[in-house]
Amino acid sequence: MTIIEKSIDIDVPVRTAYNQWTQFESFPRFLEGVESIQQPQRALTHWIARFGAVTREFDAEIVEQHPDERLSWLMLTEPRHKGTVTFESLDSGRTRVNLRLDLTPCGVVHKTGSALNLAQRRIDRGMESFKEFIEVQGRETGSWRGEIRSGRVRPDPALGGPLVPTWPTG
Amino acid sequence: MQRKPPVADPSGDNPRITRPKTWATGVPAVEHAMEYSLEQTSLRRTALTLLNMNQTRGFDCPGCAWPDPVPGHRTKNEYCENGAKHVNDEATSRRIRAPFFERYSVSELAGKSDRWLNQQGRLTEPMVKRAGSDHYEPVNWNEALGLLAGELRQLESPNEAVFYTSGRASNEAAFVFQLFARAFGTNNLPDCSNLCHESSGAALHETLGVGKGDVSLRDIHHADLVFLVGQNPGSNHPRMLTALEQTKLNGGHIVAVNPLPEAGLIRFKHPQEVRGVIGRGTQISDRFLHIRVGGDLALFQALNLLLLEAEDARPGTVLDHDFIQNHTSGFTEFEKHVRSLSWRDVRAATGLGRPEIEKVRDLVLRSERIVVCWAMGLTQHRHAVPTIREIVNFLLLRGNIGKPRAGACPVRGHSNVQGDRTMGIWEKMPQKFMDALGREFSFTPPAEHGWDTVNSIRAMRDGRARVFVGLAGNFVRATPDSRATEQAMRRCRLTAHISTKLNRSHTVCGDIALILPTIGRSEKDRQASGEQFITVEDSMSQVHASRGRLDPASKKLLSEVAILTKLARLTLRDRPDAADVPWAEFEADYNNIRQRIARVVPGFENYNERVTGPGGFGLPNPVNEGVFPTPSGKAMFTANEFQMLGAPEGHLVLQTMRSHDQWNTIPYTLDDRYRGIHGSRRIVLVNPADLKELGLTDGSQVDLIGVWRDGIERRADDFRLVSYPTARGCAAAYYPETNVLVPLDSVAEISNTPTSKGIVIRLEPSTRRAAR
Repeated sequence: MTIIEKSIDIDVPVRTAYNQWTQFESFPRFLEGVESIQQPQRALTHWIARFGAVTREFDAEIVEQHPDERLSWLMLTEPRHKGTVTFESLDSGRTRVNLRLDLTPCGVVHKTGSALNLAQRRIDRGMESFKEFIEVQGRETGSWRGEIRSGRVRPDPALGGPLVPTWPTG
Repeated sequence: MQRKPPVADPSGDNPRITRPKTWATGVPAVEHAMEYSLEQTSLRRTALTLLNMNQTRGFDCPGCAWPDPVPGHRTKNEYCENGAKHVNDEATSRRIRAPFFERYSVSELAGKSDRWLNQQGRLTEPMVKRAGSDHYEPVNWNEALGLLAGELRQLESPNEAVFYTSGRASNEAAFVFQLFARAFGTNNLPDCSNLCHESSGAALHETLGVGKGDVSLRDIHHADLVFLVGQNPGSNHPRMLTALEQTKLNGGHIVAVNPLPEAGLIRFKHPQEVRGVIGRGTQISDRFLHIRVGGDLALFQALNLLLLEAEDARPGTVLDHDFIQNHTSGFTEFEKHVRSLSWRDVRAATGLGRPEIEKVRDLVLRSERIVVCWAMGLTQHRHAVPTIREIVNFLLLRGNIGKPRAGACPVRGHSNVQGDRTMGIWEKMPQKFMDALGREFSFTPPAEHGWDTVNSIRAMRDGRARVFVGLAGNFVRATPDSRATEQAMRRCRLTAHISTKLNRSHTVCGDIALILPTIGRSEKDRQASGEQFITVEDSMSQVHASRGRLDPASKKLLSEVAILTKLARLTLRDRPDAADVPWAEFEADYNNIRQRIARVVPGFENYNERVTGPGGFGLPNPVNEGVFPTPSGKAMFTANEFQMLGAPEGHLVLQTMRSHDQWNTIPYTLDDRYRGIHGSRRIVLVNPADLKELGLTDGSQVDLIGVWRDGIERRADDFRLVSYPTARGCAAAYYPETNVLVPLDSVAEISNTPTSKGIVIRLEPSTRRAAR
């Protein structure tokens, strides 16, 4: 198991930092190489990222999500890994964001030290970009305050569940 | 090479039987699809249909409801063999014109086979069979629709009319149709769902609060274990095999449960991948349970018992206690009930031994996330609803509901069957929907529930229904108890069908009959405001647009929406209580219909904007958002009484089935190549051990006689016996030829779906052969 970690202090309240992290569609605005992220289900994200000339797609399941505290995911596509981001309130206007990736080596590229160094540099830059994005913005672009436990969603109390036809379909 | 429509109607008396295939698709699927397509139409039209089908700017395959991959992940050839045949069966260059109906009387046409009728080509102009006549004759649209409207207006009660919908109808047509029926004053809105997945909707709605499945293609791709129960994806939704191959490539496992070892359950050769063209393809099932017909309730009860016992042995490691405690109800009663299960009963019902089921339990215990898929093999039984409820129990036990990579997946059979129900095609829509409809169009929808398909047939039989209007489909052949249904249809004053092609429902008709020809899914739909698109909803709740690319088969065709809106205007004119519906605006521009749908059907806000995006939009399932819209707000465990299908000594349990070369009621050829049947459809598949026990010989001719409590003899005559690895005690034969054996009153509990997969029969030497 190879661990990549990064912590960064951000000059926004923890609620703002957390809320922004729930807006996956906004990640391409500050994450290098990420072209798009869709969220077909609340606990499932689909990423399209570019590594040099290669475009890769990933499905990631959000397994834990707790407002203002933590978000964990499991990458379902190779290279599989688990990731966690935690949010610590330093004071009413500052937040420490900690990212930790547990990479399971798979494939030649991911076994090499240079690849891991590249991943670390990308994470570092991504976190710096996130800090810059949210500090300049000053407020989150949206929020979802529901919870996810073991992949199971507890809806946002303010929103409830979706309003869709529920009658029997033959 | 394009061929002319057949004149002869071969009976298929000399079938050739070969060994069943052990893999599906591959290069032969491409060859067969192209061969059939090019028999029907030109290379240019074939290319136009195939390269536009299931593309984001193209049209939705009018075949099955299997979902398309997300935009960007679709291949240039995003269709299967059966979809290609289906669309080019619609896009055929053959035409039926007025002289055809001069040449053939209705009585003569009623003697033709389903295949022969379909092969004659596209209907090109409205036709009427006037009262007392035995011939259809051309009629203009005004007269045709005026005649129908006049008959509707003369009924003593709106409830004497039946408005049937088949799953080809678009969301727009379906919404207009149900609005018309309700504005006219009735909820008699039977649909093809009543014959297929009604049991799924009933069971899922009761236990989870939502009457639809809760999985997406991604869930199947990433599941640890997928069950395929009572379904034949190789023939009935072949693109599902691509998703199942992905499951396998991602390291998942598959268990297939079926009375017939179908080729597509064994191995898949992807025709667009090297491994499928020159390699061995991908093994689909890791385990195959060769179950007796109707044994699935017992199987899932047995699995549930084994899971409870595994939890006893290793407490806290098997069941999802947190989920069960916080998000479900009824566990205690369920547990008590399942623990009383007898393994002797399980053996009798399933034909499976405990060790076989334990091996599947072991797979379940190794799998964190599980999807269960099913189709008609489950839904068309007396105990279909309890069976599907038991599957929900199975999923709930380990928390496999409401999470990614897990859930319930009823695989629907016709392209917009799910969307039609979403649009309100149901005889007993919830009051909330009716209130919204009434508010939107300033009228009071009828409060009394209407008739489903079986009850509509009863009403026509008893003279309580006098006018039948069919929006697509082939009602006479899709329904059970063919003789009773045909008598019922013939009792009607008027029957009218909105159709693309000729079928038996045009020939077994009321005193007055109308053929109202319409454009197909593959054709351009031009209205006053310009070219229109229609929308559909697939089996996984994705709503998207469909734009035809071919010119219509005839300039005299109208779209379904145009026919229905014109009919509504003629029928409802001058009515003081008429709903305030802008029928003409609906016809001129389908955006106007979608704007109203957005205000009536929840989840369709900003419909026009959202549906035109690539791939359309998904209707989220509340279950995946942590919400169970049941009365208790929780998912429901149920205690389901043990039931099995038994047959007296000397009898078998028959399941009806499609051949590979068949779409719903329409066989394209007399072949079923995966099962090794060539040149005939009057075939009954029986296990060799049963043949021996019954003193019958492979290859001999028999009659199939249905056994039912009403004592009426239902006979399907002159079938060839084929020794085949069906489960012991079970037989299989093609529908619609064997629908004659399905009693109208033999229906599923709660859903009222005909039990077409569980009919007790006996076999007798062929009376027809004996008479020769």
